[in-house]
Amino acid sequence: MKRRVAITGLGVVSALGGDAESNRTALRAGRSGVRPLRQFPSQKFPVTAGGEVADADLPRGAGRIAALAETALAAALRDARLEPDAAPRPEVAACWALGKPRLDLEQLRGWLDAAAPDAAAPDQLAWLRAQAAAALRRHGHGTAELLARLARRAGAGGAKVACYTACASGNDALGMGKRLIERGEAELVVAGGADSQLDPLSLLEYELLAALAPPREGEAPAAWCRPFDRQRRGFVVGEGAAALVLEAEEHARRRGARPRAWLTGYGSSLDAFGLTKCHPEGRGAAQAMAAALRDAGLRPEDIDYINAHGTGTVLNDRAEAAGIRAVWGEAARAVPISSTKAATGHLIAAASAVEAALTILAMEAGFLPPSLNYREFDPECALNVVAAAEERRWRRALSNGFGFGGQNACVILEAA
Amino acid sequence: MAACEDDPTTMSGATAARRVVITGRGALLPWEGGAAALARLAAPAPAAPPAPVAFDARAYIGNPKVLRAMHRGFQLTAAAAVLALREAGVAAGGLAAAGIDPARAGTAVAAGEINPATPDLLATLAGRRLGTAEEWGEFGQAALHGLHPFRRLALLTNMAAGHVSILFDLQGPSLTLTSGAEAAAQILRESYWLIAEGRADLMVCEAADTPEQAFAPEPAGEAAAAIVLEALETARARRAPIALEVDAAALEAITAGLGAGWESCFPACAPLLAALASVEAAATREVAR
Repeated sequence: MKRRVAITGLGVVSALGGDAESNRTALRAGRSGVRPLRQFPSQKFPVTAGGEVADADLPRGAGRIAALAETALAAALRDARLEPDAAPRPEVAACWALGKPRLDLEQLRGWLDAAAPDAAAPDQLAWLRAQAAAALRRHGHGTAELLARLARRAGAGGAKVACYTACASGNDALGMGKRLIERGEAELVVAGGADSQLDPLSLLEYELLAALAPPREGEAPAAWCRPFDRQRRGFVVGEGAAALVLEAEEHARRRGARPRAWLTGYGSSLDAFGLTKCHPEGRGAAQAMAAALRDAGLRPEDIDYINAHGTGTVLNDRAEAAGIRAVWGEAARAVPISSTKAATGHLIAAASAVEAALTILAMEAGFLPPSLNYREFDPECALNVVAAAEERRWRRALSNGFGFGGQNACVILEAA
Repeated sequence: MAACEDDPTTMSGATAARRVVITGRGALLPWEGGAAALARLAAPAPAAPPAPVAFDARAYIGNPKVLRAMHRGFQLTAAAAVLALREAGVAAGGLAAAGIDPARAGTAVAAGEINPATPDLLATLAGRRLGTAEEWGEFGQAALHGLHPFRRLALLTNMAAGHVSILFDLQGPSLTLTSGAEAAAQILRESYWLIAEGRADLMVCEAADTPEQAFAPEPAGEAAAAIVLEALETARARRAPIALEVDAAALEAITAGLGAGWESCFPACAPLLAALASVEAAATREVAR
């Protein structure tokens, strides 16, 4: 008999708001957090908008990803009535999906100036690359260093795990935490994801991949991303973090913690098809969804709502729809589905952790989150897309995360 | 570790766990790869390992287009996986032919961050000022022409898993962990449980060290290691060579204490290299079939 995994604390920060309630309110109201970028002067840059978190919602002094992670973590610990910076306990673990460390281009340019006389000479290139690597370590932006900080804040003396499976990372972090508890290796796991790829270099890299939604004449940035819509053209990048306190049912009961939801299913898979393109029939996506259902002991018809990966790219949404059809069959047209990425932007490594948090917030309040900007039905995505928030009580959700490299990870969340 | 016998008890005492065996091993060290590298691990590490690995990726990955898209760290990881799967009796693309369901075979990778300060970025950045909207705009336009279009994918930490999955049609569970020096032991542990709990039949575990990794501890040289874990019943059914049976406790034991300087040379790979050394040192026994 598997141990049940309760979610007893939740913290989230995204472009929709700096705390859980503001995220829930904005999501329910159908507001978008996508707007012109303010982190650098982007007016003439090839990418000008994204799902940016307001500076006022973040502590000063830390790197952006660290600030996002620590904000969500502090909120989750408060929510679970846990003390931050408690003495490390071996039964407490940390599992995080952390985004790629950002490279400070202005700093790199400064080193280039110092690398006279010939910056293109092989030895100068090696020196510059070593400088960049050392700077990432020195500033604590490296993933392992940030993980250690987050673990200290959470009082985690047990396993400390950092996952990176691109856009599936958040669900993998939650799934790893779930399994640590089920196997009895941890009683409590602080799991989550944090990412910010709104720096100039990352934005350019997505633009080069032709993955971003192009600006539309006369339309505000909030309208550019249109998951599952026939006119969809790509995603907008966002930033944010979510932290969930996962806890063995018995442990939560002993300390009087109230479960907000249950994490009952997790499954992962690989497309084994392409590095840039997902499997056109959604083979890997279907396998991960089926594995999560099996893990939860549920059938497809038990699911009340699907929080889609739903990036808004032509191929990705089509493949996800195909994967859902492969698992649900004809019932794929009935189960309500939405993508919250049109509202938050695509949070990359943090995406599925934040989406799990948003799903829980909607489930608790009794509404189906909307897929903003969904206007025109696409027969290749013949799904029951929720275009506007719908007030309804529901209990079970599947949340999808699919990433570059053919990574797929899905989780199932159930009402407490 | 337990010799593989017909007695179904495991040393860990875990209940309802399937038995797990090691069926493939791969190692690339600066001096050599394959069996010679495995033998070297039993000896103390030399004081100053040479870098890089004397290594021709074309010997392992035939498709030049694929090779061009692979960061050197990914090439090393994939090559170690090729060696390990070859020992396990699986050719590239030949999972099903070897009697393994691709949907129940996965991969887990311990990886480090990849240095994003690539030569194309440095060339694009040289001589530019960044500050005003105009300057950022000019840099942005230059970068769209100067940077490699697949730069993002080339530098994604999880791409080693992507490459290996495509080479071998591994469609099952996947993890890439970036927890620093702990990551390789973590992937072995998670892979063990995926098989023991019946979620997978085979897992390929890999790690690579390259000096360009952007997090501490910085390796002193290059290396790569891979281990194939497999359900005993699957290995037996396809008559795979079995090096050793392991359980959770045995895995903890064999991934610790490589010693003799190896950890500081190759921190990302060290737990996998330790396991390989233990397997090499142990008397290999043929499973009673």
